[in-house]
Amino acid sequence: MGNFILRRVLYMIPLLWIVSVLAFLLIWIQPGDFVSSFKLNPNFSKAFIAQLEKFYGLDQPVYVQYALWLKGIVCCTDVIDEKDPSNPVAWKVWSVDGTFPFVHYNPYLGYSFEQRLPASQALFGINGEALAFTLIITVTTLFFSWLIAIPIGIYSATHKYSFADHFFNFFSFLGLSLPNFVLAMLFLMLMVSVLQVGARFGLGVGKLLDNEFLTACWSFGKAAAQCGPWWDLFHYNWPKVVNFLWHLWPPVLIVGTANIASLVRYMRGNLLDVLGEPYVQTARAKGLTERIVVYKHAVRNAINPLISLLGFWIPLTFEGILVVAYVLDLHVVEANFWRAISNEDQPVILAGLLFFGVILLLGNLFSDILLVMVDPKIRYE
Amino acid sequence: MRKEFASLSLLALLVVVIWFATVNVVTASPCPRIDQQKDLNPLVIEIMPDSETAKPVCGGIMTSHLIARPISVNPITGIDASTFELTARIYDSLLDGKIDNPLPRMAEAWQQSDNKQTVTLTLRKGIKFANGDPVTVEDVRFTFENLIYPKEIASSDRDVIACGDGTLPVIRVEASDKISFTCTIRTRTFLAFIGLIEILNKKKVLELVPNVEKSPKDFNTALSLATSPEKMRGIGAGPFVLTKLDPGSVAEFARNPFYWESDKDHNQLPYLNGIRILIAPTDGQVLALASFRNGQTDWFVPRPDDISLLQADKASRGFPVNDDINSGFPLPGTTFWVLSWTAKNPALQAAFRAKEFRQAMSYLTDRAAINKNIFNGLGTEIYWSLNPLSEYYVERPGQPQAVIDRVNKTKFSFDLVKAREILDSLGLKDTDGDGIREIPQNFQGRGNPAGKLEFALSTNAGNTLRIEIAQQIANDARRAGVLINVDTKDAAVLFDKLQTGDYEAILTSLSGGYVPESSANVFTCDGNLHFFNVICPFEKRNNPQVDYEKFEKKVDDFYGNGAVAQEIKEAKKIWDDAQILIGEFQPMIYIVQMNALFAYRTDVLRNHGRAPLANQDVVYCLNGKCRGG
Amino acid sequence: MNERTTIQQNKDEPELSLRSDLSSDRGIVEPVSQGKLIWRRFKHHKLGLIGLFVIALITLVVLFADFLSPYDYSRGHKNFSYVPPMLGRIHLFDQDGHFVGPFVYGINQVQVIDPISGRPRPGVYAWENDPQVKCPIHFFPQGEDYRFLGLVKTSTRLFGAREEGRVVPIDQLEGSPCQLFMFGTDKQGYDVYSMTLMGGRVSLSIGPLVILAAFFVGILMGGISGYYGGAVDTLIQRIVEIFMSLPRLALLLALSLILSAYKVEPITRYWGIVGIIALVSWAPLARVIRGQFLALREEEFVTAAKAVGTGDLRVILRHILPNITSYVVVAATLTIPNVIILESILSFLGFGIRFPMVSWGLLVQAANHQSDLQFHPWFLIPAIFIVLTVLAFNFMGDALRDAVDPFTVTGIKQDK
Repeated sequence: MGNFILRRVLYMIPLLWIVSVLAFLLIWIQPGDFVSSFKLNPNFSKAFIAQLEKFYGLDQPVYVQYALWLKGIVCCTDVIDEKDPSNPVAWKVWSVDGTFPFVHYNPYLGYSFEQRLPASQALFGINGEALAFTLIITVTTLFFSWLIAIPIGIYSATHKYSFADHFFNFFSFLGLSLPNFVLAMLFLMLMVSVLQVGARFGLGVGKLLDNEFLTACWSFGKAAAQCGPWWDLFHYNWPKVVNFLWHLWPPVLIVGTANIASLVRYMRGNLLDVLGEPYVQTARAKGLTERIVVYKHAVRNAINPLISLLGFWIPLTFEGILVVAYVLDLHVVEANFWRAISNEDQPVILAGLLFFGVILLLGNLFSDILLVMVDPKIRYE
Repeated sequence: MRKEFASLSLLALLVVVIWFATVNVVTASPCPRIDQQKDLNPLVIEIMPDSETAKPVCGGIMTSHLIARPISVNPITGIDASTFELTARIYDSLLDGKIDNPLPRMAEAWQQSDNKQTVTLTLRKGIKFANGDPVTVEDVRFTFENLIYPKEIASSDRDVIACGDGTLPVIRVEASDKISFTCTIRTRTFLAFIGLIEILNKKKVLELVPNVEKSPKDFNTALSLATSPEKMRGIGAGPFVLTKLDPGSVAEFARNPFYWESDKDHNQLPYLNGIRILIAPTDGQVLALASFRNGQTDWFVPRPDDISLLQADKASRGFPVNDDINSGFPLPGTTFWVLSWTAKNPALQAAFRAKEFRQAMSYLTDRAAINKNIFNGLGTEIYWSLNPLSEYYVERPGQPQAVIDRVNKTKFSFDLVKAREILDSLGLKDTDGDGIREIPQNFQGRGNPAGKLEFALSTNAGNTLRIEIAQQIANDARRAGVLINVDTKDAAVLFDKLQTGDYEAILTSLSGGYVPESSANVFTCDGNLHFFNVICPFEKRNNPQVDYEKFEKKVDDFYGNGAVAQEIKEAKKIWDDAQILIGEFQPMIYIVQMNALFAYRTDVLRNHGRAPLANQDVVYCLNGKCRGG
Repeated sequence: MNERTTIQQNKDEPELSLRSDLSSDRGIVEPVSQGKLIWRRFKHHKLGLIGLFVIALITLVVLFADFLSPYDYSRGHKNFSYVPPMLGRIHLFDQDGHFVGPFVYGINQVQVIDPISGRPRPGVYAWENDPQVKCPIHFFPQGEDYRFLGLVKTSTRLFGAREEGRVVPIDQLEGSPCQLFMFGTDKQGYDVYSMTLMGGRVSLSIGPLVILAAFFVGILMGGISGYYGGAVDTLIQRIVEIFMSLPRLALLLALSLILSAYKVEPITRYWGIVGIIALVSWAPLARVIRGQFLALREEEFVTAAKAVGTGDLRVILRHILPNITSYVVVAATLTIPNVIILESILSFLGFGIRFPMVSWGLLVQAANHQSDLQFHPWFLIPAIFIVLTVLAFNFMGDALRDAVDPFTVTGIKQDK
């Protein structure tokens, strides 16, 4: 098993490398380069811009630029301490912690000149909160949709052509056909205009936190004005957590509908297929109860194909979150990526493409491992 | 056993958590007072008429919304409205910038010398920055001489405080609390504009930018959004202190305990404990309205369409919103679209430099339809470079008929036929039959290659009104064979493009517009925001060859003469001519100025008239009632 | 589909024809073409039939969109902003109850009066019927110019409201109170009905075009991979895997930036969007097709064809491809709704189709504002079209799959 995982991880590396090459090329063929918006800024001298260009290798062929970029991520950047010979301090003032743009920490994903932040911070949020939110929403959505969809799928398959089956069937079709943005827009109107959750119950709508919690600590530190580490459960700011949970369900529900819809249909179809298999007939013939036949024999085998599709759900969830984040103004990686796209902020787009590629690969890896764990048939030599 | 205990305690914890989360603990803090604050120039804060509570209510946090991301928190180099939303709360100025009748702020008194060339300002006694540092004349001197005067610093302030001969006022420290400014050729707005400058704490600036005296350029990038609010504490003497800033989501302010201002009952201002300004990172205005209606924000700038929605909310479910969302008078500033004379595409550049072309574009701007459809009639069409409320506005009542006749020649109201005629006569014809005109080679002898008459009109992402205006202009232009593609950019990107001239067309607005002198930074050749022609070489300007160079020269002269005219009547005449000239050349094509619309929750902002937003650079006044916005 | 090969194929797969015929009414084994078999099974699927009908109807409507719409979709009518849908305001009988044919009343804009103060509310307007002006709906009137099916220049439209007893010249129609905005107008007076129909052209056509492009690549890659196997298979599978490892929407957005960066004509942009959506959707299809090829290449009829010396290309084209056609059609039908939704997301986010072209996603973008949603709900009509079309395609695809793949569902049907 460990051997399998190792091989699978090793196999990911070339794949990841190719993804990074493709992403880089995609950005490279676009007009402009990393520092083009920067060149426009009259505050910076030609000499300094030349140095920046040298840093990114913009005067060299594309593979050198790529190599420099990759080096920054996997290894290190060339630290040039004296930045602008004509103006050595400007950066220190301009940047976060005075380290811009030749940041010493890794991975160095580039610098967003539009947002005046390192690309990693522009994408993942300054404290990485956007990243955490994205992961939480993604994982919760996946769990939620499986939790709802599998039982419905089983029920539909075992009660084929019953009223409930038709009902679920129709609704899963509808869920598949309703674009997420329409759902999100309707949700906003329902909460604000129809239910008036704010006026009646003081509940917030949209975003991931209410205003008063936006800058509050997740956990309290020892000093009054200090935040504790995020894992310090004993001093957690529980009201903030509760507030977050209240804001979490709408995106999960909206993104989840489409997932649930297709999952239900897959589960139903698979289970029906499996129920027709000879070994199930055999099990029935042996006199096992229908319950045992379905849950012990059929369901386990019907779920396997779904697990292999797990990796495929992740990009779908990503799409859903992006659209919902656009309407509900969620502070997630997808929204930051969208903003980078609309501002043509190349380093952030590049970082985003790479990030989503990595997530996708990890999802595939995870689903493969899971598959091996639940399905003894699949060999992992 | 242990397991059960654990789960039980977990359950108990959950109950406690939910209880904490649902119970709102509001502690109203009294208005603390500073004893030594005597009746020194008590600035009366007008309390909004509320019959029940004549007394102010203290405490609370006001939440409002910004639809565009601010670029920095630098009051000197900042140019965008969102930045000023933040800086207006952090910094304070010497005087309240009213041209003819300045009011004391950080300076409690001022004298003018007999020849009126020197003004001496006296600092308020005991005034302090937000960290307790006393404000000294050295801070004032430093702010002017080290942060505004150096050419390397991109500041528009320098353009407006310049003396009539273009030099900068000479500063002298007269006493420990007195500082004087001297101009040999004094402009009419001399005192008011000096009073408008926000004063920074020298100690803090040096902490943040240690080298600023030797290398002033560093200040351009100082006070960025990434600067930690901790480090910035005490940089200004405004009513609030920035406590947290996440450019993607929120800026939070706490009340400045050392703030000097108090109301007539000697309550130290501001009343509010804090301000929270939400910054919408994506498509701002959509959620901003939802948040306001849902009670998550207290102050909101609606679109005209939203007014009926808010009024319906008030009627149907008693939503506590003010009645006068529509103030009935235009917002300060001017809204326009501008064609870059330095556009990268040479064919477009050649066309954009022709004044007749810009006039045609002005003819294609259907201001009446924009006002009616987009602003629901809550706006004023503008054709000249000032706000219609300005007393210098060229189409003001009481203008003699001779002037009106000249004025009307530069009033390019929507006229499709005329626009087509002009474009035809310029030789911009549709030669390939695709419905879009072409720019011929060497257009007006500018040596350009041929090209299509197609350009991008950029405007703020998230500002739906501006996008709609841009679309309306694009629609009408297409009927005249000009293809305009509307695209949207973040405010920061837009301003970068504007400052560097690397754009084709931009639709945006400028603040101010009441006093013509305040737009010197835009119209004069070397102005900091001379965005329609960022390359305005002096040798060319002083020795003009072509009409647009002559135009630049003439405008510079107007700004020189207009500023030093001491008599208001004389000044008005000069500014009339300037507006007519600018109207003829259409460097900016003015559109419609929307009315000031603001909605606030009457239950939360019951008596906070101007106080929560103290030190606003803009005050709306109508019939003696004033309001900050 | 080649008739002869399909019959032959049924002989190759006796199980298939046997099972299928059992489900037929007569129970007599006779050679029936696979196409007929599929149609026979498809007919039993009511939802599938409805889906097919809806798709056919919408296709027809958008095909003749400009003829069916009373206005030029790309022209605003500045005097008529936010007119509510007039579809429900078409009358057939006059006030006395006599049948006079379809007509609408002229419309005019009035300021809303505040019920409390009795004064007009500034900035709040409504549209009212003007009972004085009757506007009969004419059939085949002259309207704004357009090219019928993109070919013949004409100005005849199917219907339009014109003033009674007064002939208004075409260029002055904009000023007439007689208008027929079936689905209402937007802020700048664009006719939502005309835009929706024209938007359908983009939204509907993008699916098949993407499928065509994706399938061409998919069949080529999947076919070669599955047929030859070995090193070629491994290589192509890796390529497919890489393409499946690329985040779809992120990639789409990044690619659409290239389209925006180089100023292109709207039609070029349209083709560009078809191209980039195809680029991100071919990989899963290639994988499905490879699987089919892998299975079929071991079948006796392929071995037989190879044995008699048939060339590879001929085997692929004449023997294997016809056998997977039905699977390809099913996969296509089920991919089209995804493509439609993907395009609508892209346009909704502002990176897809741009004006002067319109698509349903782009039209829904206008509704992304609360007051628009609450006071002008007709902005959501294009969204209804998206849902309807996607639903129809899903129903049809589902039914087709059931019809094509009798091993699963039909088999189980017989068991019960």
